[in-house]
Amino acid sequence: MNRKLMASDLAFWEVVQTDGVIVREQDGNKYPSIDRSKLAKFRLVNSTGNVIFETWPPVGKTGHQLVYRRRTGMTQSSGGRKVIFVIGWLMDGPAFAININDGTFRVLETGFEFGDADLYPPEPMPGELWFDDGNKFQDNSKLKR
Amino acid sequence: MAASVIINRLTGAGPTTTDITSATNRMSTSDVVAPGTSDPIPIPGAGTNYSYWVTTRLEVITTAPDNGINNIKWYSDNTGFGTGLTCMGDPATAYTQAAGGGHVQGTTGDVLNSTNYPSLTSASGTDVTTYTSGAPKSVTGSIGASLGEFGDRFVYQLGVGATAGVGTMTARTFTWQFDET
Repeated sequence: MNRKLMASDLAFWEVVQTDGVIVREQDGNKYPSIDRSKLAKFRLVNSTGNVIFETWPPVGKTGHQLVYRRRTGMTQSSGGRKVIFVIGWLMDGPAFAININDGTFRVLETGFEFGDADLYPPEPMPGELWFDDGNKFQDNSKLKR
Repeated sequence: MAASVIINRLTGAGPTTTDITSATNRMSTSDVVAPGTSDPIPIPGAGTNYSYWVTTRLEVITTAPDNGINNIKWYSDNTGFGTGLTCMGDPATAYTQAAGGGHVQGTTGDVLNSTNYPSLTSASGTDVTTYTSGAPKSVTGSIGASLGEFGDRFVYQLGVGATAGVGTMTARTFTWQFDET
């Protein structure tokens, strides 16, 4: 398979902890292993190490409410790919869509929203505390429909 | 590093999986992954002729996700197929080989429904143009930090009615979307 390399393929997350330690995806750290109790800032970093996006827990929220996804759309037959980074704070936002390939950025101040082409709600991933035994968001009703 | 994901078309009894991520993918009246312009769907005098259904599925190759992939969606470009043409599709939990039943290759395929394709998740498919970027179809499934095929298949079929025009139709865009960490 030949795949056109895009800037998003070379972008990574990093976490600045409250104790000053920086935890980088490039160093082999996995998203579920982020120590959310110490999360001070969450960043996207490009291939040259420059910070291209940064967010931190909004007032009243903690690192446990952070959600990060690499959201990829693949167009059948053309080989086209659209990759956006989806970052948000559960349950009521804000939520961000960052497309570093075309330089666009969107924010929904009220969080993920059903029907939004980019910022529809994610599904739970390991490391996130917002799902119950049924693997559903604890309070899905708060996501805007 | 982002996972390497491809779109496969499933054909034959096996099935055989073929990467169609960047390859022209046609619907025809044969169970062939790249039929070209062979075995077109004849325009009937009355009623409907069908393509053999097309079964597609995602696969992670070469580079696995660090954590996993979930939240799979499928949608079309919200453009109609034209007079006399309808493309019906929906997810399916398993594979059923496309066939023409009592008909012969080159005439019509079996109609896509839950009788002919038992694991189809709807009775007779849905007009795929109703699945759009703002209202995509959710496809059940996920994969962890590993390689392999994952998620349900998406199966679709073109129906050709008596009012359809002759010729090769304009290409349509189908998109798979998923979340990765």
